[in-house]
Amino acid sequence: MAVPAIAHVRPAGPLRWILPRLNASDHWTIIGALSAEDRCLAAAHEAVSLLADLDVVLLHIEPDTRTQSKWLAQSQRKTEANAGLAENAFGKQSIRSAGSIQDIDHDISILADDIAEQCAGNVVLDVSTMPKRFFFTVLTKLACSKKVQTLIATNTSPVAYGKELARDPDDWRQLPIYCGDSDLDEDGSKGISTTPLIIGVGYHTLNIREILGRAPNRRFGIKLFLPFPSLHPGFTENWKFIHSIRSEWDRQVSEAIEIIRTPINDVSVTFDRLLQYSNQGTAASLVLAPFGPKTLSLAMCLLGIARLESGISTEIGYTQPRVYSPDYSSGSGEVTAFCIKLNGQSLYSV
Amino acid sequence: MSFAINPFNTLYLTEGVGEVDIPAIFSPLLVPHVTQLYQPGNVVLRGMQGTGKTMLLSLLDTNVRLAFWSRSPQTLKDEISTSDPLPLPLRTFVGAGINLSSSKAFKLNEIRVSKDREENIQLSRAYFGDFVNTWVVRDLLMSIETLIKELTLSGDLARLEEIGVTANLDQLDVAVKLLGADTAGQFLGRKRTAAEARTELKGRVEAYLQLVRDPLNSISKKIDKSRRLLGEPIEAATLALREAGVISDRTNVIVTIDQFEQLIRRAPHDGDDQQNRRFIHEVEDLFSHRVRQVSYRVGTRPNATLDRCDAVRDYVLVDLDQILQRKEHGRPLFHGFARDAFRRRIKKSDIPHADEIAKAAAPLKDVFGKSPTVADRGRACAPKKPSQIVRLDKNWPADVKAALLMLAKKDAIAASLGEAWVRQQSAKGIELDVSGWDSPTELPWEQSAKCWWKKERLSLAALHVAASNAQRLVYYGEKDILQLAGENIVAFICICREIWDCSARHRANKTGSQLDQEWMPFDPKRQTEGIRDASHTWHEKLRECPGGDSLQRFLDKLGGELHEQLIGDRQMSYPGANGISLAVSDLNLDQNRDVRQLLYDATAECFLLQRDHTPKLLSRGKSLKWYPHPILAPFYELTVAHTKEPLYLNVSKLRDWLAPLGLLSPGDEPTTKTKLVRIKPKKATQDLRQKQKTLFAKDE
Repeated sequence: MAVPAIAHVRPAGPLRWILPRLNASDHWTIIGALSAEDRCLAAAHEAVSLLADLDVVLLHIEPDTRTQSKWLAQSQRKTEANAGLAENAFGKQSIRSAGSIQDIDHDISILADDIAEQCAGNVVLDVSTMPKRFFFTVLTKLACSKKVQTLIATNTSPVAYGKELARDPDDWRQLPIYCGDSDLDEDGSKGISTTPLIIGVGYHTLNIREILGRAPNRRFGIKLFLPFPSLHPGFTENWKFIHSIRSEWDRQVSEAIEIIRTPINDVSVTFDRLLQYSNQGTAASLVLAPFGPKTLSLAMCLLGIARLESGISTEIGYTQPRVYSPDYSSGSGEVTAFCIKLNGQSLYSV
Repeated sequence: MSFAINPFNTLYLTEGVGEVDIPAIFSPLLVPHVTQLYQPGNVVLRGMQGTGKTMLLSLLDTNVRLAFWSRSPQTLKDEISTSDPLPLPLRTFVGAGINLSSSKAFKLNEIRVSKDREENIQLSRAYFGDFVNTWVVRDLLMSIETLIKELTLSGDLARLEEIGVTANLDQLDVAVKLLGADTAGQFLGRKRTAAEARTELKGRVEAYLQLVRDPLNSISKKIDKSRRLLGEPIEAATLALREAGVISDRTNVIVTIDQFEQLIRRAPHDGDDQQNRRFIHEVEDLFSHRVRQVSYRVGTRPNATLDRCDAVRDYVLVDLDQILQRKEHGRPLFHGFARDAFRRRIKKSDIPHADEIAKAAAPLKDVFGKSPTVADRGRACAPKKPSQIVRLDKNWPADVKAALLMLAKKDAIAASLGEAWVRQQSAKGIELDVSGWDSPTELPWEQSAKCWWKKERLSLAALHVAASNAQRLVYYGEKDILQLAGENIVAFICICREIWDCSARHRANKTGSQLDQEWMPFDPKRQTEGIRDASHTWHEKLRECPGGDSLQRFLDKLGGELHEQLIGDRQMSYPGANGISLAVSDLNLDQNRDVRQLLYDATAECFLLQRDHTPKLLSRGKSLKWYPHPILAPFYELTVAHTKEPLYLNVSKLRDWLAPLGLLSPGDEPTTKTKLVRIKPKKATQDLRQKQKTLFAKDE
């Protein structure tokens, strides 16, 4: 498919609609992650049905074993069951051991480098059930790889989410590649300008002091990106999330906390909103907290990549839950695809 | 009084997220108790979350010192402090430091620079040391440069003289040249000015961050060659500054390593690579080198120890929790601290009457009033039907039953105590004579010999009375607020904030704004509501901690069990069962350490209070007791005062409690069947409890 003349057209839609319109006869690779969720194999199944020459790579990521929980054992059983289904459908070689969710940054970066090295041409990265520490790193490496000409990210919505999704969020920890900068100004003083802190509104309680309190010389302008429309019961959790932040911080930060509604399934619009609140993506210092839906996280990742390619560092962190519910979601809905790179040209830039 | 502005919005003083005026609201009352912090020698400042560690360490920060010094004397005329909260002999230092989190020094434990595990650990330790050296030397040069520039500009040369810093900025360049010539200062290369040094050092920091970002990057040979052990360049820089005459011989260099406690907190979960432990060792080695030119400061959580160095030889331990428990002139030190913090917040705020309140002899008491007595607290929640207050045993003699019902009509608290008295005497087989019970002075527990029996059980009686009416106890007034704050300044500010907000909401709804013109003490009802909100907020904070859901479930289980124990104890045999005691030997034998970790984590985050305990039976050996933090007492419906013996537990029993929650390590299912003397609540109590519990249900 020829690259559209208008640079800002970023094709997106159901995977089954997008793939036939790209180089469907060429060799493709789809990378996803095994998990306890039903939807973890949906994109691969759909890609197999649409593409003739396809490698399926499913990352098998070990969970965090620090918190003892019945959830852990149940999740592992479900993941093993999905691994069995994957073996039957795509062959044993499709499953790749990818270390642990707790692995250090460099180990994940090395894995991502290896994946990017082995991929060429056309790649689909299914982020539906891939932990952020992995999907941000792998997507960045793929996007920056000159060998990858066509890059698509997919997200499969579930039929329903569970009542409680995860427990025991950990410390704020920057994701690999995105540790930000040293906050030291050229004149030697510590930075005193306002740093945009853009938080995706999710379901978990966020200890915002983790981010704000540990950078005593920085001033933050907090923007809350609220997924909209959000359906019951998610929206009540979203507003609890907002309330917990506003009640604690609204009158303390230098700028009023702003709520920005973002579409739940439009990465392109969300990316543009992110640009809008980060000086067109060029803010010298920027902190992103990718809570909330995967599409919002994806847009944040794309902003991080765009800034990286322009030589600007970004701090992107997360309070990784130690344990996920075995009933995090159920069923598989639509597999939505977002074109990131076509014919070697990135569609998301600053 | 205007309630729209809440003077207590900022819980933490040093978060740096807004225009927090630290000099205006800093209370210097603790300074005389922590003077070691501002004197030569390494200091470990230990304390729970929210006790004021960061606030005290902030006095070492150059920008905070300058903020204090820039205040005009006129604004300070009626305050305790001068323009510097430190007494003159403690001011002769320059401060520098590193925040391990915001500087990204922590991230050096995420690197893989060698496939060999041991070598990787050694290299990351070395990189961490060099990163901290670089950052601190830069910060030290910056601090001095800022001091000279700012104080020269404001003409405050006497201040420079006072702290022993030159007014001649050029001498800083001389110090840089001297440092560059030192073996330990090789990383400066041939830089000749402070500005050049700054740029060089920033480049070095950036080189490490480049490595953190991508393993494809590497550290240059130039950096590798000039790398030194942690502390060496800082020592060399201090000597060079002295030699160049930038700082005097009497001026101390104090370096704060901020967020060190986060390393300690994360360390129990370290895997094979000892991610955080390796950096803790690096700092411990720094302390044990006993370098005398530079003094280091770190903050730690309770129960944390620095294994590789000696608490007397290598550093001084300042335990803030213990200091806050001390009494001064017969009164807890914390109470004075809290009152002073309150007064300063009010004075700093823009609320009408702020000056009037702040100048009052007892502003806290003026604003919140007097607390009720323990008995009145119970009486305020008593049911209208006397028969609801006492539970009569069908086997009791008719005159005893009649006497208790008669008491219940007159005084709910006396009836509750009476019921307990009857149960205790009956259990001992003593025949009761209740003939004189119609006279309050004739009641057995009102006799002087039994005054302690009564005093120790009053709180429990109040709790029983409130529970009999499906009510929660009321809390208001200065004494209650101070007691519920439990020696934690953040808890105190949180309570004040919630009461303020609650009153503001109520007044806005009821009366509009005309009453804002009047200064009126807070209504006790609004205070009770505010305190309940604060208790709820504190409970919600549990989930914000790392591993917070598990911690919350642990606390909920503990709080629930203690509540049941207290409510079910109609005999009032265990009035101190609002906490638990565990033998240290029992804890140490517990190989999995998960129970200990939960207790320690909850203590560090200030959800439990830990105290030494001398048990009744010496054979039990040294013991520790834990109480849910007093601010959680309204939430879990527990008594607040720590009287009498806590509930004696062993680790096995605690495991029994926790096992169904899935909080224990695998294979740690409870094996022993330990019997514990505990009274099971009757069905009515259970029903009542379930009913009350819904008040805090998640869905609400």
